[in-house]
Amino acid sequence: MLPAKPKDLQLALNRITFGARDFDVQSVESLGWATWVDAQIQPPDGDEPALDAHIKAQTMPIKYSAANPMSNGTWEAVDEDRPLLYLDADIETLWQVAKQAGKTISFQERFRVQQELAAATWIRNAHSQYQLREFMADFWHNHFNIGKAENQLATTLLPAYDREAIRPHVFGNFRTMLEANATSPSMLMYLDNWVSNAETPNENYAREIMELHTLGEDAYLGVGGDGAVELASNGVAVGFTDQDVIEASKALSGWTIEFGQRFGGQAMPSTGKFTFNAFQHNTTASKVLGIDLSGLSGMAQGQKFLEIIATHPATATFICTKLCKRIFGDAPPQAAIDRATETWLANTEAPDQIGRVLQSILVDGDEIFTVPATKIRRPYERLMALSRTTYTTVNAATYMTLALDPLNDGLFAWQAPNGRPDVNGYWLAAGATLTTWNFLMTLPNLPEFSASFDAQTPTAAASSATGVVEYWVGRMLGFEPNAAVMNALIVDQAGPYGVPFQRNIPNNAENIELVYRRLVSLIATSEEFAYR
Amino acid sequence: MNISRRTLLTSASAGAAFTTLIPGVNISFAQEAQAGGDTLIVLFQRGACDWLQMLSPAGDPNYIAARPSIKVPTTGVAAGLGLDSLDGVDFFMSPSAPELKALYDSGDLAFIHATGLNTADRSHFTVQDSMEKGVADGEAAQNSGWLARHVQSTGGPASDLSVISSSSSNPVSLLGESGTLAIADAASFEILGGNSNANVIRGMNPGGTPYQDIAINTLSAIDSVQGGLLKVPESDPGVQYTNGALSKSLKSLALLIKMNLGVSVATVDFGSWDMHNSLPSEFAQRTTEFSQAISAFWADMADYHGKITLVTMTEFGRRLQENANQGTDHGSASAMMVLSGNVKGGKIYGTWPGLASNQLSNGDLAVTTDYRQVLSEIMIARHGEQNLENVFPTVQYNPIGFMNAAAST
Repeated sequence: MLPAKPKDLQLALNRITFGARDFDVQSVESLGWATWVDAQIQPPDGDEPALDAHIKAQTMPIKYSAANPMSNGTWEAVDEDRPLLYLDADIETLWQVAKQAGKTISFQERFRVQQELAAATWIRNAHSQYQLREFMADFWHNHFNIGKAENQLATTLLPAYDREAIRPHVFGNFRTMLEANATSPSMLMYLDNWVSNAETPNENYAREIMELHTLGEDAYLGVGGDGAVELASNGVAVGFTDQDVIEASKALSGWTIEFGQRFGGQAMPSTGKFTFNAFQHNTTASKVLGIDLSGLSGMAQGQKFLEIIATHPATATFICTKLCKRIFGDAPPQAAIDRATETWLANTEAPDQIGRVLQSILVDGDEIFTVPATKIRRPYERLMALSRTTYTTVNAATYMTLALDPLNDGLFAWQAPNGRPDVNGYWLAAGATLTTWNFLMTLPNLPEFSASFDAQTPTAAASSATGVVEYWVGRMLGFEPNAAVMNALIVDQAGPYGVPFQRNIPNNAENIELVYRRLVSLIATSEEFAYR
Repeated sequence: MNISRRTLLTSASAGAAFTTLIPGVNISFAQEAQAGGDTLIVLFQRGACDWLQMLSPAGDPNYIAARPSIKVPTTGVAAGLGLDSLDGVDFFMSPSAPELKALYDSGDLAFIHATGLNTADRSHFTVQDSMEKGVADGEAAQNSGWLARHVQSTGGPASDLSVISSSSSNPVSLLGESGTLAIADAASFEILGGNSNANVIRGMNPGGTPYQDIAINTLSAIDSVQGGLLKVPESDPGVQYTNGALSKSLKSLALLIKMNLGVSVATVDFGSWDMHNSLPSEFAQRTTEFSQAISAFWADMADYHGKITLVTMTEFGRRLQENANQGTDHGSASAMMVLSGNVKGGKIYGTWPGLASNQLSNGDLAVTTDYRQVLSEIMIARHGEQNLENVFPTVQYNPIGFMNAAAST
C-alpha cells in the first residue's frame, strides 16, 4: 500500500532539487534536514569527481562540410564524435569561435558551444549530489538570462559565463555576483554595454540591470525627473525613473571587452576579455537613485551604482519573492519571504549572503514541509524528475539539447532578458501539455538515457498489474495518486501492453524494457507528477 | 474548465440572463449571431518594432538629421518604397518589405500611424503586459487580457478550436480565457503512441482540476485537429512560405482556419525587434521574414480574405534620435497594420504628430491614436463586438473609418 500523501522530506526535497528519489529521502532522514541543507550550501572543493569524470567521458557527434566559395570561409570538413571540449575553454578560445565563425571556423562550432553547455547542464542537473547548487544555478541563469537567438556572440561565450559569473556565486554575496555579471563578456554583449560609448551611452543594460536583475519592475516609476522621486532615510530613491536609466548608462559606459578597438591611439588586443575603456567612459553622470556619482571617477562610478542597487531594499524584496515563488509556487508563504528579505538586508556584506537567505527560507521555518505541492514542474523539470526517479543515466544528447526550444523551455534559449515566466499558468496550456507528454514518452527510449527497468523491479511486483503500477508509482511519486490514475494504469497494465503480459512471453527482454518505459512515461504525465 | 457555448447556455437556461465569467464582463447571448464566423488574428511584434523604419517619413528633414547612419533613403538602390502621404508627409515602406507594398497597392492592407499605449513606461515587459490587458496609465488594473474579454463578450468560444495561440503557450491578451488552445504546429499536433496512450491519459484525467481540464482539452483538440487535417485540401503550390519562425506560425494557423472548425480569435508572436545596435542589417533581416511570411499567408488564405482580419501591434516605437551603435533606444508611438478583405486599404490612417523638437514627446514620436481605438473598430466592424465596455471600459469609441462594416443580418 502506498501512503496517502508524500513524506514531508520528499515534499521538501522536490521543491529544491530536480526530483527527489527514494534514496535521497532516506539519506536526508538519517542526516537531518538542517545538516543536509548546510552541507549542500558548503560543498567541498573538487566535490564531485565521479560526475566530472562522467562529463569528461561524453562525446557528441559533429559533422559539417568544408567551406565552399559561397561561404567565403576557409574551414575544413569535420565528421567526428567529439568530447565536450568547449566546456573548459577559456574566454579567448570562445571569443575566437564567436568572432571567426563563418570565416576560419564553421558556424556549426558556434552552435556546438551552446549544445555542449546544455548537454553538460542536463547531466549535472540529473546526477549532481549537490542538487541545491544545481537548483540555484538554474534559478540564477534564468534571473540573469542570456538568450540564444538574440545574440550569437553572447551565447558563444556562455561556458565562461556559467563557470565564472553564475556557479561560483550561487550561494555567495549578491553585490559580488552582480559585478561578476556586469563584467562578464556574455552579459556585456547580450545587453549591448560593450558597444556603449562616452558620447551617447547605450541604455539597454542600464535599464535591464535595474528592472530585471535588481530593483524589479515594481520599483520602476516611469518617465520622471530627478528630485520628483521620494528618498528613503539614507538618501537613496525608493525607485528608479528614466532619468536614472540615463545616468546609470553614463556610469556604466566604458565597461566593455577587448575586441580590437582603438583605445587612445593604440589598438586593443582582441581577446573577448573584460576591460574598462576610459576613453569611452562618459564622465558626466550626476545623481543615480538620489546618490551623487560626480565625486567619483572611472570604473568607481559604475561600481558605486552596482553597490546602490545591490543593497537596495527593493532588490531584496524583488529577488527574495522571486526565489520563494521558485521554491513554493505562485503564492509563496509571506513569512518565508519576510525572513528571506530580512536576512538578505542584514547580510549585504557577508560572503555567504545568499546561502544565509536560503537557510532562512529552508531551515528557519516549517513551510518547506507544510505548504502543499502546488508548483507546476516546467517541462524540463518533469523530464529531469523522470530521469532521476527512475535512476536513468543521462548522457550528452544532441537532440535533447535543442528539443525544448520550441516549448520555450530550452536551456539558455529564452530570447528576452526577462527569463522565462515562473508561473503555473504559463505551462498549463494545451500546446505545452501535449508537447511535454510527447517528450516524456520519447526520453526513456533515447539511447543517451539508459536505465534497466526490469532489473530494478522486484519480481513479485512485476508479476501483477497492480504490483508493477504500485511499485513504479511509489518510486516516482512516493504516494498514492487519485483513484482514476491508479485505475487507468492498472487496467492498462493488465492488457497486452502491460509488463506482466510481456514478461510471460519467453525471450522478450527488449519488449519488456519497452513496456516499462511506456509505463513510467505514462506515470510522468499524471497530474501528481506535474506538481512539486 | 473549458467554458464552452454549451456551458454558457446551460447557465443561461438555469435562469441567469447574464453570467459573469471574468469579473466585470457581462455577456448577452443575443449577440452571438453577430459573430459571423470571422477570424481575428493579432500579431504581436515583441521587442518594440521601429515603425519609423518600417513605415518611414524618409524625406522629413528631422528624420534625416536624427538618423544619419540608419535612415531609409528616398532614392538609390535601397530606397524606401513610396506609398502615400499623411498630413502632408510622404511615407515610405521599408525596402525589405516589397510584399507588403504589393498588398497595400492591391487594397488589402492599411496602416494607422503614430499609434500606441498612453503610458510613460518604457519597459518592454510592463508595457506588453499593460497593452495586452488593455490598460493605460492611471486606469484601473485588469486581471484578464483584452482578447479574452472580447471572446467572452461575444458569447465565449463556440467550438474547441475557437481561440488559438499559434505558439506553445498563451499570451497575456488571452489571460482568463481557459478555452485557449496553444498550437504551434497543427500538422504534428498528435500524441505519441496514438490511441493506446491517449486512452490511458484520458482515464487518468476525469477532470475537475486545472491540470486535468487542460489534459481533457488537449485530448479533444488532438481529435479535432487530426480529424480536421484530413479535410484540408493541399495548399496551392504557388504559396511560398519561408523557413522562418513567423512563416511556421502562420502556416500552422492557416491549416487550422482551413479546417473550417470555427477559429474566431488567434494570436501570433514575432519577436526580436529590440535593436539597440546594428539596426540596418537586423531590421532588414527581420522585416524580410515579416513581409514574406505575411504575404505567403495571405496567398494561402485566398478563399478566406473576406473572413479574416490580421492586425499587428508592438509595445512601443523607438526614439527618433539614433544611438551611437546604429541602433535605436526605447521610444513611444509606433504604428499598426491591418490586413483584411474588409479593410479600406491602400491608405495610411491616423494623425501625424510631426518630428520637430516641439512636436516630439520626450524625444519620441507622440502617440496620437490610442491603439485600443484601432482594435475597437476591428472588433465592432467585423467581429461581433457590441459591448465595447466589456473589453475596454474606459475607451470612448471614435471610429477611424478604415474598416468596412459587416452587413447586418
